[in-house]
Amino acid sequence: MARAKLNLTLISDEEAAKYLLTSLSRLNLGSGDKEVVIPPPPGSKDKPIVYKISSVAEHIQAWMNGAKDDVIAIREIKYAKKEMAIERSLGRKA
Amino acid sequence: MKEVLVVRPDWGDTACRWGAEQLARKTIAYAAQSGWSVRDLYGDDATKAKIIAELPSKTFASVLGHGNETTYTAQRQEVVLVKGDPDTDALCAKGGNLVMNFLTCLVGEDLLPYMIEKGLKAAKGYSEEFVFVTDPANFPDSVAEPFFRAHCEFDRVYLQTEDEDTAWDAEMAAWQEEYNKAPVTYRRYIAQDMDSSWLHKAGHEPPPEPQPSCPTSQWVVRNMGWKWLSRLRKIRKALFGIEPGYP
Repeated sequence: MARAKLNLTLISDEEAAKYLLTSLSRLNLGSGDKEVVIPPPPGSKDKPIVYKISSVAEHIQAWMNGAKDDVIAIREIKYAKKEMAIERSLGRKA
Repeated sequence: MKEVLVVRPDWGDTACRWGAEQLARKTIAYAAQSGWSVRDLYGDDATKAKIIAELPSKTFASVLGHGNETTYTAQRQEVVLVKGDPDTDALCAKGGNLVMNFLTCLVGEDLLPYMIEKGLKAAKGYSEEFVFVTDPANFPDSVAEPFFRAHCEFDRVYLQTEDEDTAWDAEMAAWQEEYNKAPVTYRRYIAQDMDSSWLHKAGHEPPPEPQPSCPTSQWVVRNMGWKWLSRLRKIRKALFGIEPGYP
């Protein structure tokens, strides 16, 4: 049952963005592209955030070029930080 | 015969459509395999009135819906459980034997700790958004499978053991297994769900804050905070090329 929260404090947003871009650049997402679904909170009248995995690199690039309010990039960077933290906890380079 | 309550709102909304189908294929099937009967509130049956009426007679419930930090909603986002709401308080006061598993975003942040404080035995849920991957042309597809398989592992093991701690351990093991198997394309989403899942119950404290491993870093965090350790490590990286996060 013991489980520590992932330590994200030592990973900067910029570092995670670069990590994600590097990871995605190694993949071929051209065919059979999948969608990510992030449900909306109730009462927000927002639709779910749904986007194709192949569009992530574009959002990250836009974020790196100054679009710091890109909602998809912000979330993707958070998820990338968690992946990096897990990889490092497993002794793998990330 | 023991009966599990399964709540599956579904009105075509992407998240609930996938979730409702996956709970049917997993939780409801697991119940049958484990000798439990099922009270299934699906679609327009997933109302506040029916959920509140059913819960007091159950010891286990697996519920799907949309949520925020303080609120759980069911069919067409009808509000069911809310922090500070008398109906929620009354339900929790009668819920000393009730364990609930929430497939919703965010309720683990505030609503579930509140419900435990008000008397509910245990509740598992996500403190952040629950994110998953789909192949919309192939419903309900294998790409979404790992996310729901790991989530429903709690249900599978609870229905066999009636022990929430064992179920929680099994769920965490399932998330780790799915993370290890996942392609680089989407393992970060599994990391997100695994990290934000938590079992709330008396005596199961929130995850401890991370601590650096080396004594010098511990001293910096204790006396100056993580922000300063991060700054010092960035300086170290600039000078010596050592990545942050390494001792």
